[in-house]
Amino acid sequence: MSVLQAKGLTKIYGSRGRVATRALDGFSLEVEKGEFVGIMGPSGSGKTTLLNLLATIDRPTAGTVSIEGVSTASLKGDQLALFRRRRLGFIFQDFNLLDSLTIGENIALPLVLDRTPLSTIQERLKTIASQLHIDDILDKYPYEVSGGQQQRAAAARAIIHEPAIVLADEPTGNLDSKSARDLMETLSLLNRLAQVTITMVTHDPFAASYCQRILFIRDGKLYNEIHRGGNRQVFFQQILDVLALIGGGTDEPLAARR
Amino acid sequence: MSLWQLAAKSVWQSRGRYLSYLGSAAFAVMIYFLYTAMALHPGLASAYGGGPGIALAKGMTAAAVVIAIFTFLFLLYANAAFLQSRMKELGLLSLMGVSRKQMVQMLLCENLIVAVVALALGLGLGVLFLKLFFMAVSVLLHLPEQIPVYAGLPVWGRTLAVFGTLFFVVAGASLRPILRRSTIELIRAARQPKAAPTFSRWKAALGLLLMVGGYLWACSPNQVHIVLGVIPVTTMVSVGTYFVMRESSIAILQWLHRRKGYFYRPGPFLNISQLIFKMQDNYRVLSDVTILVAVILAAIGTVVSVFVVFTADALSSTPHAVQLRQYGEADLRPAAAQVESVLERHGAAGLTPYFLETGNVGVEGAKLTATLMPYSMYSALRGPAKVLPLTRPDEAILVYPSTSWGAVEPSTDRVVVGDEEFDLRLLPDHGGRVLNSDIGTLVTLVVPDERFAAWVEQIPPAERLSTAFWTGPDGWKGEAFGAALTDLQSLFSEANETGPFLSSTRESYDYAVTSLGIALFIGIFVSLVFFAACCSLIYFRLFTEIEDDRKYYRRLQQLGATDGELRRLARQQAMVVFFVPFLLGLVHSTFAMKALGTLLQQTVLQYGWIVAAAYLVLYILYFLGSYGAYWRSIRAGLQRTAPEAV
Repeated sequence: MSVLQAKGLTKIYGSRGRVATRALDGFSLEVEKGEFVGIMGPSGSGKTTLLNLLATIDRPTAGTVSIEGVSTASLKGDQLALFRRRRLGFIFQDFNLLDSLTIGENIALPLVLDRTPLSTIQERLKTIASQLHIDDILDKYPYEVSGGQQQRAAAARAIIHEPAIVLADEPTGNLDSKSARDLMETLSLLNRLAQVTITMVTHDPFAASYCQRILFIRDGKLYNEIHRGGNRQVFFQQILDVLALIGGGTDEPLAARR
Repeated sequence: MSLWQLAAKSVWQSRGRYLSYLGSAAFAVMIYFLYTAMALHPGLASAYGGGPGIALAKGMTAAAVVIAIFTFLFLLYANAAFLQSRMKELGLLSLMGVSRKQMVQMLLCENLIVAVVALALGLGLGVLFLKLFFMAVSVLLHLPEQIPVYAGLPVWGRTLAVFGTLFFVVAGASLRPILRRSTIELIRAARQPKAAPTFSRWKAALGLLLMVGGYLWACSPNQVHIVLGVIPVTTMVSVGTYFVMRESSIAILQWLHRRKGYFYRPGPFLNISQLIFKMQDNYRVLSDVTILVAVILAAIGTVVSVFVVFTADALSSTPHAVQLRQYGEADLRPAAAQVESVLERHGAAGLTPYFLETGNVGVEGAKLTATLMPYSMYSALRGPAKVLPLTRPDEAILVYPSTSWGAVEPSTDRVVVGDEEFDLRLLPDHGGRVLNSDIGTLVTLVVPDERFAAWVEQIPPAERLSTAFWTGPDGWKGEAFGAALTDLQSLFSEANETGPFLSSTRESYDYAVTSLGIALFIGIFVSLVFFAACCSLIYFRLFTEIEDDRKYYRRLQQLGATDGELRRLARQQAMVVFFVPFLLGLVHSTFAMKALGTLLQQTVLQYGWIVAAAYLVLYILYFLGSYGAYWRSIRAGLQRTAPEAV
């Protein structure tokens, strides 16, 4: 069963009097339930535009996105916000935790916004915190814990309301290698054990090697698609090979993306 | 791009922030200009009878000094708040190789632009409103003719010199924190982590204790305690305010935070968590605003109360529009005929004439000297319905000037008339003075007409008192009467030592209005400057944190908070920042008014409420304006639909 279906997505930026930029050009994508899909490509290839369209925070010039059979174009105003709140989970490069809430409260936020009973919130929070090994920092504020812990909290927040799909934008971009490995192991575990559907945009071939399938995108079009056979190390090598062909991907400084 | 262009551009780009700053500064300049014009007015001291004119000039000078000092402190604070929010921008300039010298020049240019615009605006508005201001002063102070408009060179010179220096000093002072910081510190200044919100129980308790202690002191019924308490109570409540704003508010919020059943709902969840940090960061400004609000409300409330009480007092102590008085046996009929003809000539209508030839008697037990009046005249003056009936031959009515003194129950007392003594049953009446106060006694003894005639005969002629008075409701108002009174005053001037002596409601009332009107007028305008500054302080606070707030709301939006939820949250946050200081300030000022009531020996709380209501109206308008600007600025950040990491 496909959770996410995107057909012929095109996004043209630019307004009157300026040269229009075709950021995305007839891109199609289908994600099955329980899949872990990576999207890679050089700078300006359109992968972030794609993620924004999937996340319903931007509207395509042409093409459709449907999630669990619901066409996002049919949702208006608050419906869109409510849909995003209930059916989507997000992990951002800079964690996007609210500074004024504790880690536990940040994780619970989607449930609180949806007026879930307190007992349910506490139960879900407990389960997820122990799965992600962050039960001992729930009462701390974001600035009191490490980046890795913050990003795991963000991951917990992304899945606490059992969304149809989790969209991750460079989740390892601000993490050191140890924390990045921990996060990817965790995401991979959630994917395998809890059947969480994940779509992740990344530059990092190491992070991407945890995916089952990777779509390469260049100049707004699908460039290549590879599937993971068995061993992660072999898959990592495959990714590097494609990146070498596509050009300009691996050596892009991460700092420039902020 | 030259330095000037860079400076002009950066002022233009942060115009949202500068708007309130400029507005308040220009307003202060305008008021200062108007006050100085009045204070330096060459004709004022001589032209308007000396006293009021000199008082007016002195009051205006003092008010102008207060405004200048206050504006200085306000500008210092505002500038520091600006620069704090612009550290990152300055850091980037520094990173790109702008030297410190160039940066200083640029900032000085910016300050110069702002100063010039503020001065130009303020002086322009000042000139625009000059005529209106002089007219308002003349009307409010019941001056016989309008003060001619004056704005000579010294006025311009002084305003420019004072505010030019202020702006210059403020600009210089604001450079220090920038020069002290290294480039990286400048860039990182905006990103300093917030401290964990903690509070200390004993400080929270101490704050409440100080405030409540101050309140209780202010409630003391003893006038001496109130006078002794002015400085300690003000200090206690001010210090208490700081502790309460910081410690107690966080204590309460943390308590709500721990009540999970309440807290884990969308409204409280976001509001309380956000407020804990906002209170921690902003308690100083909020306390300052609270104290300012309290000062403004209490000051205007006091001036209004004193004004109302004293003018009411002027009316009650001289109830008659015209009264002639002469001691000893005298025939006032020729003088009364003169009064009648003057009144008629000017067409002053609505006055009834009375003649009273009377004398004073002693009331032994009450230790009073009372003026006699026949029952028929008293009942004609007051209206029969309001006068107690005299049922027994030995009864009389003792009329006290106010409710605050004299007996309440009827009593038997000995009345001394000439060299005879009578025991009478005296019925107390608190209806106020019966004759204008210049007769020399406070109390009137009303006796049956026959007894009155007999008693007056027994008083030696030298101790008698003759009066003629013209009275009637509102008879003392109006232009016709005013003109008549001017003529009467020259006819019966005080230089004429043999009398008769003239007194009038109009004269007493005008005197009270002129002298206290100055205080009221100056007070209201100084308060307006305080008001503008107080609102601007909050406005700065809102806009200093706008980058953080934008980020916050953008994050919530990405997580699926609807527009309505975001708007409600922003409105509630802004309302707390605006109205918590107002409410606490109102409570402070209410206790101040309570203490004032004790000093004036009557309730003046209602005037405090009226002032607060007027203030609230202005304040709500200001809130709507600044909240609108704030939300537009937040929404501009939200409309970018792409996530911020891109």
